[in-house]
Amino acid sequence: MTGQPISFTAPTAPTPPAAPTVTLARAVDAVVQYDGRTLAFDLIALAALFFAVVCWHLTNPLLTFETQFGSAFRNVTLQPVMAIGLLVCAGALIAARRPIRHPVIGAAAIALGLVCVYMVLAIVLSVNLSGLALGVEPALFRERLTDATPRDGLGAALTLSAPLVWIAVAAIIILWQPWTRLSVYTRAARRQWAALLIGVLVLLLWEGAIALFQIQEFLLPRPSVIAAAFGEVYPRLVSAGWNTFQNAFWGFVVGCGAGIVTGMVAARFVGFSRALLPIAIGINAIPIIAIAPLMNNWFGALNPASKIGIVALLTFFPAMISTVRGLTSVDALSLELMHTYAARPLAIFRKLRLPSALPFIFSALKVCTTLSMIGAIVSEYFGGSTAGLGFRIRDDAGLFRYPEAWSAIFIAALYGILFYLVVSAVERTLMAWHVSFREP
Amino acid sequence: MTPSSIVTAAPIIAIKNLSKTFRTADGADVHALDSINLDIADGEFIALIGPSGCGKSTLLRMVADLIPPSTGTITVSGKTAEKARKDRDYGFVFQSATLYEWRTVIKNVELPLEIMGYSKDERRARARAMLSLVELSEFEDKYPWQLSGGMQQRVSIARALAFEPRILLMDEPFGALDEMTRERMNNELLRIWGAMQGMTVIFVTHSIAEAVYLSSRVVVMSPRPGRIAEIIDIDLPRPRGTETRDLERFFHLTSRVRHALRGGVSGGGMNE
Repeated sequence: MTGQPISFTAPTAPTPPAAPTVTLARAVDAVVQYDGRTLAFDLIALAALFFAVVCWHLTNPLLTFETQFGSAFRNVTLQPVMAIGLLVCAGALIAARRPIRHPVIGAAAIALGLVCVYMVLAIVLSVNLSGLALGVEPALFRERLTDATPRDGLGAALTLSAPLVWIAVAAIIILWQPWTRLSVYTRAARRQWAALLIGVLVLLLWEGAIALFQIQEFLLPRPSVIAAAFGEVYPRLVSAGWNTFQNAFWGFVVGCGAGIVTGMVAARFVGFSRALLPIAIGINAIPIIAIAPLMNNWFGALNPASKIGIVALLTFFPAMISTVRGLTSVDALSLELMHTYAARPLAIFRKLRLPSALPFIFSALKVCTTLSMIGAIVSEYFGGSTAGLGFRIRDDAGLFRYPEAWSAIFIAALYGILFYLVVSAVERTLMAWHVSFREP
Repeated sequence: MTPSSIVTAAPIIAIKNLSKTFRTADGADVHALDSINLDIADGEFIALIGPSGCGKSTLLRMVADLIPPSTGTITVSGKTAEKARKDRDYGFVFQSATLYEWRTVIKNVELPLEIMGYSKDERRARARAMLSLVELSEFEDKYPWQLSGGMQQRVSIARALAFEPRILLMDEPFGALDEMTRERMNNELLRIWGAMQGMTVIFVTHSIAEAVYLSSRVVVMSPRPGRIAEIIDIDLPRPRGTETRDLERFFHLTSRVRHALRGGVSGGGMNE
C-alpha cells in the first residue's frame, strides 16, 4: 500500500535475520545479540577464554594438583561442567559469527570447535592425545601425583598440549574481535561510569574508614586484607561453593519443577486454585529456612537430601503462585479469540496460557535462584557435610578467620550471580519477543 | 421495520425475537437488547451502527456465540450459533488487533490454522496468501510491536480470513485508528471482501461515513434497550472508491442514517 506510514518503534533497530526455521541461530541471537548493543557477547567470549584456560589446567595433573588455579577446579563433578561450559560458550561464539565472511574467521571457528571437542573428551573420558603420543597411561591424567608418577612424561604432555590452548585462545579472540566493539564499550562505560565510580568509592571509603577509625579486624576487615586472604583460599572456596551450589541447583529444580506443575494443575481447576492460593501465600510468608534443623532430623544431617529438601520447600511456593497467576491472568480478548476458533482447552493452554504465563514464571525463577543459594548456605549452618560453603563461613567465623569468611561470602555471591545469569539467558531464549528485551 | 429489510432468498443468518438482559454486579438487571429481528442474506455486507451502549457489540457477540442470548434464536444456515462456531463458520476481528506478541506476523496468521489442524505446508501457503492479500508480505517475520496500529489490524484481518470463514464479524475494527488510516483501511476491506467471493460481513461501527461507505445495508440501532430503529439500503454503485464519498447520493444516505440515529437517541449527543 503506497503512502502507508510505516512507523516502526525504532527505525534503526537491527531486526532478526529472516531465518525463522533456524531455531538454534534464533536462540543464539536472543542471548548473544552479536550486533546488539549489550555486553552479553563480550561476557560469553570472556567466559570462553576462562573455560579454555581452566580446561587446559584440568587435562594435566601437574597443573591440576600443583598450581593454585588448577586445584580450584579439581572437584570431580565440577570438571565436566567446565568442559561443557567451554563447549557451550565456544558454540555460541561460532554460531553468532554469521555469516562467516573471512577465511581466517572460518578457520578460527573450525579450530575452536575441534579443540573444544577434544577438551571435552580429554576431561570426561580421559582421552589425552599428547599423553597417548608419549605413551603415558590415560588414568594418570586424573590422579594426584605420587613418587611413582612419570613426571617427565606429564611435563612433556603439558608442553605438547600448550599450543592447543594457545590456538583456542587465539581463535576465541579472532571470533570475538573486541577491537570492532569499542563503540559498545564506550557506550557501556558512558552508561555505567556512575555505578563503577560508586563501587570504587565504596571500596576506598571502606579501606580508609577502617584505617582512620582503627576498627578491629574481627569487626570488619579491610578490602585489601580480604583480597589477600581470597588469593590464598580461593581454591578451597570454589570447590566448597560448587558443593553448595549443587544442593541449591537440585533443590531449585525439584522445588520450581514441582511448583510449576502444581501451579498448572491448580490453574486448570479454578475452584481449587481459589482455595489453594491464599493458603500458599500464607505458607510462603513462613520463614521456611527455620525448618532446616528439622530437615536434618528427617533426612540426616550428612545427607544432601536435607539441604535439597529445604531449598525445594523454599522455592516451591513462589514458583507455584507465579504459575497460577500467570496462567489465569490471560487477556480476555485473546481468550475470546480462541473461542471463536472453537479451540480445545489443551490448545488454549499450549498456544495462549503458557506463553503468556512465561514472564510470570521466569520472574519467579529468577527470585528462586537467590532463594536457593540462601537456603543451601543457611541449611549448612545447622550441621551437615563439611565440604560446603555454609560450613566454611561458620567455621571460619568461629575461628576468628574473618577475612576468609568474607572471601567465602564473596564466592557465594559469585555463584548466586552466575546462577541468575544462566536463568536469565534461558529466559531470553524463550521470551525473546518480550517487551523487556526490545532494543531501545 | 422498513420493507427493505425483507430478504427474498433464504437468509444465511436469521435472528428472531432476540433479547439480552445482563445482571450487573449490584444485582440490577440491564436490558441490553430487546426483540431484535434481522435476516441477513448470503454475501451481504451489513453495518451495525448506534450510539455507545446500544448493544451492537452485544448483538455481534451473540451471533458469534461468545455470549448466550436471554431469549430468542439465532440460526446460521439452519444451525444454531454454537454449532456454527464449532463448525468454524466465523472469523472475528476485534477492536484491538489482539495479536499474540510472542508470535511473528506470519505465525499469528497461522494460529487458527494450527488449531484447526492444517498441515504445515498448507498453513504456510495460506498465511502467505492472506498476508499478500493485506499487502504485508514483507513483514511476515516481524513481531507485532514492530508494526503500526493499522498494520496490526490488517494482520488480524488476515488471521480471521486465513481459514476462509463464511461469515466475517468485525467489532469496530478501525475504531482506534485515525481518520486518514481508517479511510484507507475501508478501501482495503472492500478490496478484500471482493476477493473473498461471497463472504458475509457484519461490521459494527459508530462512524456514519464508514457504515454507509462499506455496507449494502445499514442497521441503525437505538439504545436502552437496544432496538433496531431503521434498516437503510445502501444502493451506492460498486466498486466504491474515494470518489464515492463525493457522490450526492452518499451525502443523502449519510444524512438519512444520521436522522435515524437522532430519532433513536432523542436529542443529539451523537459523536460521528
